Amino acid sequence: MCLAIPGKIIGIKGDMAAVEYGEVVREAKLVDSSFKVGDYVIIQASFVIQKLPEEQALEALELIKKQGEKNGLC
Amino acid sequence: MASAEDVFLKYALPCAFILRDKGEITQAQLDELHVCATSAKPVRKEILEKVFHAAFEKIKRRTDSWDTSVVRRYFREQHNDDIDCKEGYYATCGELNRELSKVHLAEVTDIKDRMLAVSFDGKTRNVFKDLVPDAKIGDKVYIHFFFAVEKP
Repeated sequence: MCLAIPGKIIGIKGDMAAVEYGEVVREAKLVDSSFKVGDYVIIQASFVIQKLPEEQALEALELIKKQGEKNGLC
Repeated sequence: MASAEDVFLKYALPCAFILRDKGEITQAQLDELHVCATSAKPVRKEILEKVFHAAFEKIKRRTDSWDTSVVRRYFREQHNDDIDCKEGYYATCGELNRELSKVHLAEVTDIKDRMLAVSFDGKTRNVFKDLVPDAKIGDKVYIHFFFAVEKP
């Protein structure tokens, strides 16, 4: 299954964002200018593509932490 | 005419990005899949079976056939039904992942660079238009995760 993992924007420079996943920070391009530092987001194909409500993001992160990710996609 | 492999890859491409992020396939393998999905270059079934083994298992459980209608029925209907039934993993993956994992038929409401804004069931989403480069405002497109997949 494809699991969408939310990250948190910790910095923005121009149209690039630094997105934090636990201890890992990834850089990705913002698809538009609506994103702000502190937003929970999903990255796909190296683009920050969707903002998530904090509650939904925390729920997803909790699930990931609890079960780890099993193999098997689509 | 698109082959069953071509159609399968379009629907499965979003998952390939996640596999790359997880380190299960390399960037070079992802690039190759992306090229095949967005050009006339054919992709070998053996490669798809290896990368997307779970989907193949679920298709084979339902039918011995392999053609474009089998692939489309799987992604557009059966896979969504599995998610709605909260089968296995989908019982605990959370509403967000259930929503993103489903294939939806959506309407294009705006086009910007490489993205389409689409709406379905009163919701909106930005999706990549790589696989449907000729999409226009008002068109219906199937979407999976953050990709427009194909027109009906």
